[in-house]
Amino acid sequence: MTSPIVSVRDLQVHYPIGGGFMKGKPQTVRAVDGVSFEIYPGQIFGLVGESGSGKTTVGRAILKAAPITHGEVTLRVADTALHVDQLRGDGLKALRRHAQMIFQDPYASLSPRMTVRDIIAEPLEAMKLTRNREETDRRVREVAEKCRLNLEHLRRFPHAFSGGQRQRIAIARALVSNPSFLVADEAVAALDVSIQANILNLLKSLQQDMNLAFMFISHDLSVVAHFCDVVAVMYLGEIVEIAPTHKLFSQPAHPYTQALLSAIPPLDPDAKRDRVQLSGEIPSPITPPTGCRFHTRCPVAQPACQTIKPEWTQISGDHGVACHLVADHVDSTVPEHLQEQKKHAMPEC
Amino acid sequence: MTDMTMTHSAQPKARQENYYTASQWQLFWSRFKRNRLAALGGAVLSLFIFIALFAEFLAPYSGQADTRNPDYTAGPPQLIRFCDSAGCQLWPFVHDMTSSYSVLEKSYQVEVLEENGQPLRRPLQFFYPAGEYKLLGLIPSDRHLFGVEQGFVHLFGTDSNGLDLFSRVMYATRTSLSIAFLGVMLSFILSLFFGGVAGYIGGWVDTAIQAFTDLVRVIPPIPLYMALTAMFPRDWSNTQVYFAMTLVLGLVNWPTLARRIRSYLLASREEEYVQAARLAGASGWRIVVRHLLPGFASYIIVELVINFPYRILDETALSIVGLGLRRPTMSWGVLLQEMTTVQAIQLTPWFFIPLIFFVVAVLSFTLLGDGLRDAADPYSGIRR
Amino acid sequence: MATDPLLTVSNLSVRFHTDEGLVTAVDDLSFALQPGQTLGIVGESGSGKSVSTKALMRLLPDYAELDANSHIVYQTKKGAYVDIARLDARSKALKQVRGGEIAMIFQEPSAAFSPLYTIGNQMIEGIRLHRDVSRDQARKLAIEMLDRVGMTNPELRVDQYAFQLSGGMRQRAMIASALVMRPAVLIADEPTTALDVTIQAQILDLLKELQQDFGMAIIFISHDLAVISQIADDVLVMYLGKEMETGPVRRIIRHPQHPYTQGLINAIPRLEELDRPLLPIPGDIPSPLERPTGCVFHTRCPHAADHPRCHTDVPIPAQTQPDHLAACHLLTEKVLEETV
Repeated sequence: MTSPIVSVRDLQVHYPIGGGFMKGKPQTVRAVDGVSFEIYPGQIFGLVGESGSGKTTVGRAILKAAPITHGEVTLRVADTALHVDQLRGDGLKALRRHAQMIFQDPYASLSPRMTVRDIIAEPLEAMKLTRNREETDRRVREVAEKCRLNLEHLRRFPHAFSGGQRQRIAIARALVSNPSFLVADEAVAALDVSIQANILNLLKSLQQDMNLAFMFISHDLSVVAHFCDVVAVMYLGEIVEIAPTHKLFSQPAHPYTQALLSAIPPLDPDAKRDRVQLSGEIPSPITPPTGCRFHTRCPVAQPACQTIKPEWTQISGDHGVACHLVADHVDSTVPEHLQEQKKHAMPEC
Repeated sequence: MTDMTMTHSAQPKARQENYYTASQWQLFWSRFKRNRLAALGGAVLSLFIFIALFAEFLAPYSGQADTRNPDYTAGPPQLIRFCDSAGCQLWPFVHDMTSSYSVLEKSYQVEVLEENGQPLRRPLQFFYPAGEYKLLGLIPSDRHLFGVEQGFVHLFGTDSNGLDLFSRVMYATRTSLSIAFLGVMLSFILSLFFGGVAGYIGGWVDTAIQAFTDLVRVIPPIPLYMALTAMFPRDWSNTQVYFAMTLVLGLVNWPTLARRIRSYLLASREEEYVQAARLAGASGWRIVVRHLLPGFASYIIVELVINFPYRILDETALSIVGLGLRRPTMSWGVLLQEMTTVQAIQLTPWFFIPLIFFVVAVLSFTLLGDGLRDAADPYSGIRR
Repeated sequence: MATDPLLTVSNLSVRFHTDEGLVTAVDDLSFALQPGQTLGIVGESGSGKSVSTKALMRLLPDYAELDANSHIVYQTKKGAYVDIARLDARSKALKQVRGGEIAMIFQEPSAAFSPLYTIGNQMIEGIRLHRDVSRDQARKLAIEMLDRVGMTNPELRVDQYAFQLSGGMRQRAMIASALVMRPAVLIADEPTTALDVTIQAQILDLLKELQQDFGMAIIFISHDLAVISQIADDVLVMYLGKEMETGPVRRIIRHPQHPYTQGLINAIPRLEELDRPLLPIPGDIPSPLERPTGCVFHTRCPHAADHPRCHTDVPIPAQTQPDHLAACHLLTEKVLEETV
């Protein structure tokens, strides 16, 4: 297998809140608390979770838009490895060039005072990636065409466009520097259903054209199921399960994943489903529960879950989960060597 | 219902394209134009600015002791006439009049001079050569908008020393507007520096600047003004007092604006499009110049225009109580000092003419400021 | 459907005066609501789903204009009929309708609660506005209701502020304060959109349960057809302020008649059919300033190219089944063909 384009090892992002000059000791929000995963070239990696799970922070940390408290983040492009956690100066410029982001709200992420052309050209101009204005214009037109934007509209300002068109502009901006990795943070959440499918299809065809790797952050499991190759489920700053999409949706192993899946309303009201009812809401990331963080809401929690942190367990080659119940079950069935090997690749989180 | 749908689709395509390619400034302007009161305020203000720039040309006299009319002290405004008891003529004229205080009557006695039993006419001359001056401080000229060959013309009457009130109001407009302008600019520079640094750098720098700003803010402005202006030495020249006044106005008023600038920067720094620019590899300088400043400019202009009338008020108030500018400098405050007597109300109501100028200026600044604010506010998109 | 409808909306049109011109938000909308029925209104942005329900309570902003031909006939608890569209904006009757007869819950519960008063304070005030009870009795009613909507420790919660609660609890508190007056109609405007899926499921279950208990009718507005299918009996599909299709939820989902509804259903990603490609509706939702002529959907409709009528004539909702209406020229043509 090829080497991963992004590898994240034991990533922690902790924010102090409150505090400050003569305001007492700050508290720490453990937004991301020990997350490890790998994304391969051309792969669409889905990151799902409820609000407060830390999924957005993971995406920003990879792009060095959130402070990395601890852990390693590596981006490999063109035979060089960028250690994101230590980047400055020219290295940071390389990261910005090769890794880009699409934001959730296309109304907020485009500067209202710049024309569409200037918005798309921003990365080129800011990083001086082109030699002259003609080259910039050529590149802008090229990428705008790829994103199915009307070239006659490049002179317009963002206020002239609807949400879907604006998101296409944002995608064009993200792609103009020819990156190999994109973080899409809830990129279709603000769009109407009929437009959503449009943008998803566009992203997919661009991904195939340019062999992009994607990190697709979303709260909407149905969208993730349709769009992603691999899905990681986050809960309260930790990843609880990673699996290829088909496996995750057909055989979810973690009780949280199961609950999440069963909570999605099917289109047909008579469709059969086994509801796993979750009580309560996601606890505060300032004082996360001890042991397994999900134990306060878990319908099958055991006494051990309250005190002992579950180890990362590889159920099969590409399906990992952090749950005591699964670990107990798997230990007796999966060959020892496979577990050992995988534990090495995926340090406990 | 249907015909309305039709009108929308029948809208000319070119007009729509104009709307779509309109920059924020153009949208701002089109919203502003629709506000009639603000446009009126703007028009009146342009007139005031014209007066301030071309005061020497508009004023027939210097308004100082050298063009004093000793025969017409505290004289009422003279009417521009075409007719009088002796008949009519096509060219406008004024009567030559005298005015002097009668101790017996305890009032000013006004008389129209007569020649051959007919009132003495003084025809108005336009672009009349009189006292020399330099237009805008550059172009030497001796032309005045109007004047009379013999005698004097006093459209707004004279003050108790026989100085032409019309001329004095013209010069006072210049002084008051320019002092407020310089004061606002000074406080703007200070607030841009303190607010900008605090808002963009943040952290402990922000905390320290905020503490300093608060320190300045908690001092009540009126005693502060009084203390500062009372410190002016009595032997200072008018120019010195003038610049000292702008300094005082600037120093006292920057904290409020600094706070606004700081919170605006803090808020817009977190805007998603600014974050997007940062992720696009834009440097701090580029973010400030390309993303923060353009949005900021309209905001600043609005803030400054709204602040302007308050500085005029400050100067006028201080001068009226005798703490600001003093005679022979002419400002609205100094002119209005003369009206602060019961006599003025009773005998010489034209001393209040500067008050009209002052009120209209403050009012039109406020209207303009409100209009600009409404036009700049993105949430005013839908209005009745 | 033997009973009289609780609410009959006919020819409802709402226009907005904006800087850019007059914008049609709701165009000639008619529907009826039976006692105890749950009507789902589904639509994308600009469909007018929210505006039309705000009009029912006369909660429209100043720059909105309710068309003179609009009628909103409501049967009060006492059996009298009022036309809400004709009530004076400051009348007592309208105040009685708001809250007492028709209550509303919103997407963002924090917008419905003042940060300056406790939840209890605001509920008690509401109760005493509509019912002649003492403060203590009102407080007791409020606590009962908070308990009923599944708030833990209602005695404690009643003295808390809305910002002290989590999103799900806040939504429960809003439901409690809406239902404490026992309204006959509850309008729920995207009540689960801001919530996580697990909380959304809890709130949907709660609403269903409360409807069984209290027997009120619900108008449930959402952009998410799947959420609507969980709770509604009937669905009204709206697009650009016009009614596209109305019918029982199962029929709409399984046999959609209108091309827009069909497109919408094809565009929804479904867990049951992971390998089915997503089929977007072509084009973008037109700007409200460029409202299409004829059928408002014709700019995006796959069939419109072959039917010149779609570009010029506004289709009228026609029955395809006794309780299933769709506003599409193709369907009326088909019906004609069949009858011929």
